[in-house]
Amino acid sequence: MKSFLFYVTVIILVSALVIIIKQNEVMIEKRVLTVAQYYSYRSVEEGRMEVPIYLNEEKHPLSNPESYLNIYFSNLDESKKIEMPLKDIQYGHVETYLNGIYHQYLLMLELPYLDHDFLIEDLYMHIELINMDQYSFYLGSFSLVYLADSEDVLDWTGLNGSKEEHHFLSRLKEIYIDYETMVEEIDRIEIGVNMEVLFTIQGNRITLDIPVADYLLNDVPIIIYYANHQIQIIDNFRYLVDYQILKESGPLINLYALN
Amino acid sequence: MMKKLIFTCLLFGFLFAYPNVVSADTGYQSYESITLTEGKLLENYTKDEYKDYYSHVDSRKFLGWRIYKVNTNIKLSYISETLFSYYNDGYTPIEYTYKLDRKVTSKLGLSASGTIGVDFKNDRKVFTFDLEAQLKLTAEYTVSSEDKESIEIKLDVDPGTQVDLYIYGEGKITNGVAARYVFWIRANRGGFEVFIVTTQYQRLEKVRI
Repeated sequence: MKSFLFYVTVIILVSALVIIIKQNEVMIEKRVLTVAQYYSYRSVEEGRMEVPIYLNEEKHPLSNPESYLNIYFSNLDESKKIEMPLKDIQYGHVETYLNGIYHQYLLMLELPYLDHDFLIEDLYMHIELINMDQYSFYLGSFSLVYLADSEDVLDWTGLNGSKEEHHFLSRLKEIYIDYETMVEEIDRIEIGVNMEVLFTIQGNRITLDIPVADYLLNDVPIIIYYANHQIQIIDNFRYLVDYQILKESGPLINLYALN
Repeated sequence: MMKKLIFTCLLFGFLFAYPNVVSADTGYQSYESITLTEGKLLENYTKDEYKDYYSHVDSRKFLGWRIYKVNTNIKLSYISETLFSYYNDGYTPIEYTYKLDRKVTSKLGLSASGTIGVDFKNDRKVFTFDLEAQLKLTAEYTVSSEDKESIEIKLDVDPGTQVDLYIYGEGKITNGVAARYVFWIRANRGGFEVFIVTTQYQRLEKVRI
């Protein structure tokens, strides 16, 4: 009888202990972060767009391309809408943000080939997963520039960019185009639909001055309009890769709870 | 009985204390240039400096690492290798696509000297004997074994033109010396260095040859 009571007491105590531990267990809320970015591309066949998302859970369905049922992009009131098939999801890198660990995943999407310019000023990504979960994330701004023929007016020899000095936000401040000879006068330069930038020319180098805006910016096409109405486009180029995006992006970060 | 115990302790001590094979640098040391805002790279430590720094880790302990950090989170700029170079020796322009998928990220570089080693574990560079964990580096030095790099560039290359892609950027470095002890016997001693990239820039050049 005594040993029976002993076993029962032990079982009750262990069960109580397990319940107490479970109740006090810190449940980490599943979250995804997006950072507002200016997505600007030239409309070409088989063009690719790369959208980074940051998950605090590695095995979440959002990190698995097989979990996706549908994905499309729109503005807030969905008066502008565009579909892009998801081709792949690649793992990026690890970052920390507000004492949490976030894994960057890159959604690789196929850009549509349009024969006209397309602009979404407030870009949202809408995802439907095969488990019927639906999410909408704010991404920033989207521009797709169409140009049938680009004329090689400027024989550029070098292309690179830089961020604002002593600023760590992953946003280009200047783009440098080195060239050998300039035969035509430049009228204006754009880095997206209706996105004109100021520029200076000095010593065989054109420096584009990109204005401050609340978007990350690292990969843009450059559209050069000449005074004689010729147009030249320097295709998309990834000018910079940052590994501390969350730490430096502050108000540009959007946080969403996940199922 | 006492003799046997001492013999066993000594035997185990020698087994654990046997120096590890030196395997020094990884990636970043082959960069064209690295410019630090202050301090110096591990490869530039002098014998006298080593002697001075070792004095901070030479007091023996029962088990584990003694660490002395000489430079912590020093900002730097670097110019890396030419990532690719392509020459169109034909007579017509070529639409060239360059695609690189690196299994291992170049974001983190480790270097060691003396009898501290650098090893690969799950496609990830690590110091031997868990030195990294003992260094208590900040989270920005974290690299997952899944970290990889993907670069894709499409461009038209005219005849007689060479295209080069260069990498340069900014990062941070932490280095110093460390010694590992097993039963008060020094098993490893040397320098360590951790290099992390914070921003990587790319420059494309076209040269008519």
